[in-house]
Amino acid sequence: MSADDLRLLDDLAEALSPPPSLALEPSAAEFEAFEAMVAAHFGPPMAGSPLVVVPLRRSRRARSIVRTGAMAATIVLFSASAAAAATGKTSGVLPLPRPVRAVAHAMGLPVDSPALDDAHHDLGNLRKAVRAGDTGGVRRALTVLRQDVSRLHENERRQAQPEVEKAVTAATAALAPAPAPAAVAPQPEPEPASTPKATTTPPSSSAADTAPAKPATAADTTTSAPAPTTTTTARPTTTTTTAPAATATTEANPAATPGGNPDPANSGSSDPSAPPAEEPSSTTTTTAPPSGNPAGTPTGQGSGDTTTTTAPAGGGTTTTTSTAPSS
Amino acid sequence: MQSCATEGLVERARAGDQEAWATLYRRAYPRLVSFAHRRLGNPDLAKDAVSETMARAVAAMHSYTRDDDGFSAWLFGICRHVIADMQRALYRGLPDGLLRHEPDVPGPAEALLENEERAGVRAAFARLEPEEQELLELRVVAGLSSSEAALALGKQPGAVRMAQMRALARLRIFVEEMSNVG
Repeated sequence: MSADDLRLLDDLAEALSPPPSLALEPSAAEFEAFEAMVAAHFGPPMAGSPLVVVPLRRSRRARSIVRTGAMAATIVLFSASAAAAATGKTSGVLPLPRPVRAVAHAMGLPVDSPALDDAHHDLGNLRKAVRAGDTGGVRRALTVLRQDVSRLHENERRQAQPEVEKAVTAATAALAPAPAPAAVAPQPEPEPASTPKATTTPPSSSAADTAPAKPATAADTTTSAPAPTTTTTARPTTTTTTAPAATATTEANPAATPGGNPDPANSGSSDPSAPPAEEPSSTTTTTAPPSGNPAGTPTGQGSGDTTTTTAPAGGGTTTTTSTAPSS
Repeated sequence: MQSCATEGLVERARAGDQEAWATLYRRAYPRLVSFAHRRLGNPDLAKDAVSETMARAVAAMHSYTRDDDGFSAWLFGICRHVIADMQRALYRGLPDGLLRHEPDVPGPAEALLENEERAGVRAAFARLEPEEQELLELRVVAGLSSSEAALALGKQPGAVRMAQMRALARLRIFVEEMSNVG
């Protein structure tokens, strides 16, 4: 090799030298893990100083001791996993230190690899951030998750993929910009009357259905949020028909007033915080589909009508609120 | 490169001497982790690769029949396979742009601070063929001799020397081109 080649190799060695941030010494944890792995493979150290060279051909008794030691080490690691399993923890969250986990995994014990464990941890962080609505945290957790999932082996990735996809979908939804509030047409001034709580039911439900209303939960509010309902809320004309007891009531949920409804999907029923026990009666609100009027409300009401039928528990008063379109 | 040949460490390690294994591990670690970091571009991945390499070495020690001189080359041969496995796992079946691993690259500040000549050599090195890159990395990052690199690569020493000469010649051309451009 010429002097030029040697100099070029030196230059190359300098150019390719590892970054200063890269630790060139094994950490204590790595070292302990390695020692544990060696011990598990070869058995515990033999008696005497480490300088004693163990003969290649051991006696039968020595081999037996080594085998017993290896089995003991294996049993210890198995016990850790079994204990964790017995306490109901999955292998993905087995509380093992990373080095021990690495060794146990390398030995073929039933524990997740460190990479898979990291991915599970990242998933937890991501879910936490999504729940907290912390978009910055979601982004950070996504980045870390990406890196850790990329380190998984193929079978591990296949195993984690459904969970990861689910979490990523949720995170993507959390990161998506909030939909612009729908324009709400002015509504007639609501009368200060008692406001029976109404719950939105699917369009197929009959208005006469007097089954107890399901309490509106946050999840319901989120999932049953069809945009057409907002349009229905904006109908300028509201007709209230009062049945037998002649108690006229106009639906006037303050939350449904223009500009006061943060959730345009649930017109008239956007009070998820209201306890269901306070409802004086079973209430059904039916949002008619554009194709027809399944509630059987008076004719002349076009598509998109909203009918609210209130049937008190005592059966004394039934209030029907129909919202007709202006056109 | 620190040799472990003269101390009989390999023989002791083969017999299960933990002290010998610890010494071998400490000695091999810097070069293994540097090499793995070059190949994988990530410190954590590099550490994992070293752990896996040593685990495989311990498990396969009974099949190691060479003398002490070849131990480093044998380790790096295992490390190459480990890295190849990891790279296969990294770049297979990932949704585009979602889970793909991004190797560490120097940031703008680091690039500014980096020696210009060194940056030129790195840029020229990046233009070599992957096989040439790996060979030269085994030489200058792992610190293997040509014969050891040949062992690690599973090739004949003569062929490796020739390949190294060609790689260096091409690297020199690229470096000169880079300096002319600069």
